[in-house]
Amino acid sequence: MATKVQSVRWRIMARLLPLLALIFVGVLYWLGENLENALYSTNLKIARRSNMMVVNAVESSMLTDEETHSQWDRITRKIARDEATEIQVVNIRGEVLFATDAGKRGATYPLDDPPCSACHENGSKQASTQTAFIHDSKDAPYQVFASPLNNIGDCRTCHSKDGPKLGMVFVQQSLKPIHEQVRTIQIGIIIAGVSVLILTILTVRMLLGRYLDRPLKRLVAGAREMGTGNLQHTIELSEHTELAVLADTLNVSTVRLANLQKELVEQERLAAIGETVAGLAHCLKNTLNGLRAGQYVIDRGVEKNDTEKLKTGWRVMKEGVQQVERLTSDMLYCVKERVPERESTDPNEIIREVIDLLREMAAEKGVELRPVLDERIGEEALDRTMIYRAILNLTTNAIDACIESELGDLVILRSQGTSDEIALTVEDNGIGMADEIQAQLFTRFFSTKSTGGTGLGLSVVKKITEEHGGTLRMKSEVDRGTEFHIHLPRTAIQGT
Amino acid sequence: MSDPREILIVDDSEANVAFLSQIAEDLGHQFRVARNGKEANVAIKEHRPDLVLLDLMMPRKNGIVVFKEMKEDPDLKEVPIIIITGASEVTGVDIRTGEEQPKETYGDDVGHSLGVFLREKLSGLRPDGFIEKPIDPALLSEKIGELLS
Repeated sequence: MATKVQSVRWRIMARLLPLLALIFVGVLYWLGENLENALYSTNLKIARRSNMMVVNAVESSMLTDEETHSQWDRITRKIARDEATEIQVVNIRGEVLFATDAGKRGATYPLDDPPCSACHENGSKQASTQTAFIHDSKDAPYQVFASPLNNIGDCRTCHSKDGPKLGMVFVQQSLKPIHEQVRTIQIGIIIAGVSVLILTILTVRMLLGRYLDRPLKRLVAGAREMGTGNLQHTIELSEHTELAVLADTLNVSTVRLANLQKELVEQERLAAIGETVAGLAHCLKNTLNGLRAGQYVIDRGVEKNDTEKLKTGWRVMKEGVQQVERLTSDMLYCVKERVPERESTDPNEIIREVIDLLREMAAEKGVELRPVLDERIGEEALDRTMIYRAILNLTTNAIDACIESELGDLVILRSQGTSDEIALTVEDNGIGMADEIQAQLFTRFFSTKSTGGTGLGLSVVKKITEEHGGTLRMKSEVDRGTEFHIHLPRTAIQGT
Repeated sequence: MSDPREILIVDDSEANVAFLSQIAEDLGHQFRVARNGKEANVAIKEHRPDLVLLDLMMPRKNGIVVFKEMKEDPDLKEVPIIIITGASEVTGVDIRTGEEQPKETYGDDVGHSLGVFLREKLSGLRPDGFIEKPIDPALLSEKIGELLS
């Protein structure tokens, strides 16, 4: 039973696709992560720069002195505008001294609320060293860079450098643009990636089709064609790849096979001719021996004017001539293709006719011919002449087998009919055959008979049986006897 | 012409019997005929022949059995036997020597197996003479003369 052939191309594709998809997702994730980090990092640099600018620009007087404050206010707003940031200055009590967003000025941040709570955990006065944090507000997340306003200049005369801070500068940036930018880039990457993936798949599919699938299909089709016995077929592949080398090798092998086949057929033909000629020569030698014997005795009869010898010689000669006739007839019968001329025939009648013909001759040799007939066998479409000849040959052989044995005295001719077939059997209790003789049974021109056998009789029986679509079976045991069974299938004509 | 001797012709073929008896008569010898192995046994026991012309393929005890029995019988083993057969081409065994013939001289593989069978039957015993069919009367006369001299 043929199993479904799986395409090599699709098997490769099926394994390649998940791999490509995995690589694609991995690259996408890596790009996204790094991109976001890079953007945060840039953002932070901007915040730090703004912060430094503000811190460098601020003086304590600027926060309180109206004239300098407005100056500082202008500068800080410009910085905030240029860098797209929001800046707040808060004193150590949490009071917003300055904010680019005017609404927030004057507000007070408690220690345990943002932005103070980012560094002052649980409202503790001790702050952590954290300088930047991300705050998630309900509108959009933002990033805050915080740096202390240290006491500078004159203050240091009273406050040590590490003493209490004056306040904090918060540089705040919305992360919304970054997130939008990241999403845009991610969508771009996905579109580009999917395009590359599809393109890769299509290219791989096309290449596999061109270099693997199509040549393979041609190879398979070619090999199948060769398998059907068409050894003239050649497989042509356009691309010179290993598959083309394989195809060429297959082509060369097929040509060799075709040549070998031709040689083999020729050898078999010669062997068959040789075997036939050898067998024929052997048979002719026996016949020639008879003719030479007749000629020799006739010569002596003529020399001595002996009528008895002339008669004997002539009888021997005639026997030789008859044998040549039998041989010619059997040979032609064996060689000629024949379609049985079927007519409605009673097989029992054929058996009775054969017995009538041979009964007297058999009785002279002490052999009884006994019919055991199935009277309900009915008529059957048979070539009457051919079946008669087959039964005659088998019966003659059976009589000879009885004569050759000491105890052989009975030949039974049996008919038996079933709904599917008829069986015609000739069995004797004669000499039987050793395995070596049985092996030679259908070897043409092989005969164990010292006189008269052409060595073709059984071949004729076999041919007649097979031409009727039947089978010939044989059973034999040395000194016990032999049975030949002709099994013929019933034909449609039966009963008409 | 040498002294008349008795030749036993063992053959079931009428043609061969006529042929061989005429040759024996031409040589001035007496002859008796046995039609099969059984008759041969009886004839030999009745009167010891001086020479046996023996066919191999015969009904009721074939020539090989007759040959073996005679050669294994101390009283009869000295009686020269000339085997007459046409079997050598198909059996692939040279009956003169009992040796297997080269493969290419066999008719076919079955002939070869039959040759092996024949060789086993002969069990290394050698006939005194061997004549292939068709019988050449001159050759047979010469062989008979040689064995009866």
